[in-house]
Amino acid sequence: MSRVFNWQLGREMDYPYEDARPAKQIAWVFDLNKCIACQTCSVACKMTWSSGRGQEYMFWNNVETKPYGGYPKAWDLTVLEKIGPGSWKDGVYEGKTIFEAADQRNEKMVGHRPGDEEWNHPNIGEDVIAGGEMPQGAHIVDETHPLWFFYMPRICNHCTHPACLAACPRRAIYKREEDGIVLIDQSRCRGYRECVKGCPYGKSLFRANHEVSEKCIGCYPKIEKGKQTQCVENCIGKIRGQGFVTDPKQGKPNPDNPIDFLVHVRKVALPLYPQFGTGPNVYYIPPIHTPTDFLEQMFGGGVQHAIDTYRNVPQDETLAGLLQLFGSSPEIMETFAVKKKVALGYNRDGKKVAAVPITEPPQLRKSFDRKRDAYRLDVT
Amino acid sequence: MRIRSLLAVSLIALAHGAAAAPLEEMRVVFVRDGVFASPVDDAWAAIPESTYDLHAQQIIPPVGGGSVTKVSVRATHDGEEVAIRLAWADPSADRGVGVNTFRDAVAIGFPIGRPDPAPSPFMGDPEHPVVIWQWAADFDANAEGNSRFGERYPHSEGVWIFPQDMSVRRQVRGWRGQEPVIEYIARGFGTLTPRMEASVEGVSDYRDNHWTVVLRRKLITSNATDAAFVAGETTPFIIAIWNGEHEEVNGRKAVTYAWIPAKFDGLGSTTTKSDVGVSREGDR
Repeated sequence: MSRVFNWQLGREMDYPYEDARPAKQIAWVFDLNKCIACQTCSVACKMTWSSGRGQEYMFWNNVETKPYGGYPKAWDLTVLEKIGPGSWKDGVYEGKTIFEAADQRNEKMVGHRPGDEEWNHPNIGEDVIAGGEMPQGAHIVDETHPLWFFYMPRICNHCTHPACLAACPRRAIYKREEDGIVLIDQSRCRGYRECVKGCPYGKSLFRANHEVSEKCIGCYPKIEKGKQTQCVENCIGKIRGQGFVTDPKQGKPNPDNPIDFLVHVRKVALPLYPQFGTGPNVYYIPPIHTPTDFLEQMFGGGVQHAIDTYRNVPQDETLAGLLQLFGSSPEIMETFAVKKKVALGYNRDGKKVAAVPITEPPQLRKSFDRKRDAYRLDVT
Repeated sequence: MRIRSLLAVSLIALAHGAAAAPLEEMRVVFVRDGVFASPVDDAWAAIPESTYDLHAQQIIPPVGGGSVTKVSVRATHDGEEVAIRLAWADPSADRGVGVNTFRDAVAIGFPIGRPDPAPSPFMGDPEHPVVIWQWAADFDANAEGNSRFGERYPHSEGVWIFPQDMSVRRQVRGWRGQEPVIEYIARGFGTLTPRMEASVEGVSDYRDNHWTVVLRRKLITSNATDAAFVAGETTPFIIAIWNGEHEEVNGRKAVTYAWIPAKFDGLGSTTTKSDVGVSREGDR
């Protein structure tokens, strides 16, 4: 048991394992306003890592619809119910984490081990609307309307205080010193499923034919080469950014670091269910048209600020530029700059790997294309 | 509450080897014509049976288990091999594994070499490792080609086009995945490590709500880090049983809380299979 400072909670908490911080912490930012649930990320991940026999229902990356979707089914509601209600006051979480809600004798964290039934319907609740009925013939008359849902792409959060790691009695799970990626040592795993139960995000998955648990490996062979993960590189909506985040207790956030800028400077990207207490490192830009109280339950107290900041993007050249850099290079952009309305991304060696204008200059084409002897309707 | 904490304290004391009273001795009967390899061999009836109480594991989280409360053990050796027959009541035979499906299993552990005094019976310690033989119902079913995995996971059946599947499988199954018994070395809690070398064979039988498992091995193996059995001497061992129906896995198990002394008959003993009234014909 160690006493750790969890900056996402704004306070200290108990963590039933040693507090070992990596030299660098991998992190992602997903812009939920842009996700269309095309599942290209899911397919890219699955084709790369989990296409084997026994992995039929195993999605290290999945995209679910909120509020009704969930893979595994109701993973978040189940844990929320177990930790009980909580609230946010001046950036401090007042409530219990999954570790604090457990008795620490029979269990180290309140957990939930979903059954086959929960895993075998990865698209449950997909596209189901919330906020009211939408009967036949209904149409929207007001400027704002009560109906909503949004898409939620999810991978392992490679947490700062991983519950899966603390749950494993075999010490088969470890957090890499060099980049903070959390891995299961397949040769040590004995398939006890404690991590499946311990991970509040349902991102430790059991492979029944091998009798071991498997999880997102953060595409570590790519990360080691300075490349972005498969799910980031293949995102056609360009909703994903990836890099390294600074723990504000450990060092000063660098405003030139894209992730630090979004998470710590503009505070527009928020951790998913920070109240679980594991310090997740996938940060989400909340969908601005979703009821704020729902978002607060999901992303903590900083939601309103994030929404206001995102709405202000047209006036915020640096933020607008950085968001344009998402998906503009297969390499990890560790620093960025916005100069003369052009966003520039630099890799770990400081080499420029992307240059994207904030606004594409308009191109007008003639309606008749002489070369192809064809008329075109899309002239802009 | 008070009783429970007292129990916890005494169990922790046990874990450190203090006042761990050894259990009733088990006799490993010398038989001249070869050990009984089959759990249903009638010859076992003539071998004296020792019965031990099992308790829920309460030393290290995750605690629990203990739905199996008694195990009966008989053992024979013929100067070359030892066969240990464990029998316990379990109303359901759980042979499958899924994310929420658990299998039945039994394990026995021995100190490596012949340390005196014996180390902690609970996974040993860094200086005094223990060797553990675990028989599991799902490995048994796999080995017999009877896993019925496809019934529970129908989409895993059929032709598989991804070649990496087999390479990953080979990597994961560093130990013998097709055998019903896996051997481990442990040097304290959380250190259980499967061993590549395998010398234990397991045969099981389930009928009338009872599992019967026979584990068989040569008395002396070529492996230096192994339990050594010597005729005429005593070797301590410990038993753990998991009941899959009650989601027992990992530390949630039923255990004997102290070493059981296994007294090997000397080679001069006269018991033979014919002495115990059974013909060897057709029962191997």
